[in-house]
Amino acid sequence: MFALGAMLVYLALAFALGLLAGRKRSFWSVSEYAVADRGLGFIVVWFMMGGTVFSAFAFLGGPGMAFSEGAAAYFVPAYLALGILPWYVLGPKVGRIGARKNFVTLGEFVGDRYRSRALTVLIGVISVLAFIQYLTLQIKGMAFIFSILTEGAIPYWFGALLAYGIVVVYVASSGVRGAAWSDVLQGALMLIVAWAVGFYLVYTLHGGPSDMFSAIASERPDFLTIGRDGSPMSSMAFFTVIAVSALGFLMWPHLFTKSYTTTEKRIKLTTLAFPLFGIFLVPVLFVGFAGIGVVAPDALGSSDELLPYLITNELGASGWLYGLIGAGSLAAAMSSSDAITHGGSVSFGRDICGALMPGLSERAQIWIMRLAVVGIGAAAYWLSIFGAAGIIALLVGAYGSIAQFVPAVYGALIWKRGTAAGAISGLVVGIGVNYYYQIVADATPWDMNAGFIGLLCNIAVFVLVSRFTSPVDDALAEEYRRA
Amino acid sequence: MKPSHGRRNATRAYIVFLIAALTLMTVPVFTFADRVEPLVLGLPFNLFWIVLVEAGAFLAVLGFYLFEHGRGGDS
Repeated sequence: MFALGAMLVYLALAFALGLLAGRKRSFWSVSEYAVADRGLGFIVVWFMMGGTVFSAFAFLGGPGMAFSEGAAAYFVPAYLALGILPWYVLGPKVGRIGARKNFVTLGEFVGDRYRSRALTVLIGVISVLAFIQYLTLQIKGMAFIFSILTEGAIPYWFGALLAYGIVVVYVASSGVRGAAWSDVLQGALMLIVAWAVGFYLVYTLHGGPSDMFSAIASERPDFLTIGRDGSPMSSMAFFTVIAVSALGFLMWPHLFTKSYTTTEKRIKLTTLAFPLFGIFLVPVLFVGFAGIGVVAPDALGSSDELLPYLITNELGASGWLYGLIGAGSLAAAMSSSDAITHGGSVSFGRDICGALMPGLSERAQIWIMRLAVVGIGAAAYWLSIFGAAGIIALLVGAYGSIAQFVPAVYGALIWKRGTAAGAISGLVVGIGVNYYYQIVADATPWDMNAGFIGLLCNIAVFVLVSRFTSPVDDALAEEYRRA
Repeated sequence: MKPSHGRRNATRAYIVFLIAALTLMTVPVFTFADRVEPLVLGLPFNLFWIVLVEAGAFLAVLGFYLFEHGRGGDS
């Protein structure tokens, strides 16, 4: 009961903060809804980026990965830091161009540079599909937490509806400001919970991290290394998955467009925090390592269930711990969901509807975006509760395709000669190759990450086709290159 | 557009730093740090190495920021 109470108190706080954030701001401005009139403060941006990146994956997937795949989970703290570090250079450039040309999406940025509305729409469609997949993962996480920690008192479908319904309402009403301010609460809460739980489990179950890791290493010597015979992951797989994240993580439109929400200095100061976020994640992995030797692998339906399983079966039902973990994990899932839902609504309104119907008034666009929050939310909710195998394969393909925006975006900033034909054909080839290795084929050459192979092919096609097609106006290309 | 008021710009050096961070955390440098013993601060050596690189990356970005923007307040 205490657990339920704590989670409800938390939900009420997040809801109130999200709604209050949008007060006294223009309800009818696309710029306010999408990028907070480019004026968010430093602390808010810091938590917004952190909360957004630190999703249900960190709370459920990270520990599960450490439990079942050992050192392969080291990729989590590594990719988190490396994925955001390029923002220091990329963010201010994108922000300057965006402010001058009044952009609010990634699709607009690329579409304007390559003079191609088709490219904008293509990026918009891939983004919206990928966002829906990302959301279903978060919604499943929220539903799962609710159902386990209330011992089934709140059914799966209702837990998801309650937590995600709140997100939909404050995003639709307050836009990016609602998402940002509730992330401050959510970010602070989940950092505290992650550390408390990680250390608590390690000390109660194993007497401390040294004893725990020594025991694991003597039991399974290569489990905690990369690229040995008995290691869970090869060096090539480890390198390529991190390289793809380092290049492609910022291509997630909800992260990319945060470049438009603030100033150059604040972008740089925010980047500064991410190596620290990476270190903050290490105790979260402790949760997973703590399960080794304590939980039998076949006791879990999937390794994501490790944290709830440990809490219920190994620590006894301590009410405050339940409540704390419940609220912390909800915070992680919700602070990502709000940014993703928001990003999806902006991409849909601007990249798809805006590009296909250029005459759309600002008022119409803002209505489309706010309604898209509800539409995208409903689609993701429906998929996460009922599923649909065919659609899910499509969504997983889109989710893996986000990194394929890399050549078009970075190309815009460094290479004058890139053309729309090059960018589109590269993107299509990259997505096709990624889809083939991710979903159709059983293995990849040299154990490389599917997205990495897609990216290599994408870059090759982008460069080749661009060489043989006529470039855009020189002044325009220079404007992007010198931004 | 050139950055305003002749501020110092370290974009090239920053890109070198990014590549260095990637090689330190993956191949080839990580390969040499990839072992469990000795445990440092309770962490396997390879995990400690990643933490160490991230701490180093924090200091490096701080250095870049101070170099480019000095100690002035937020603008």
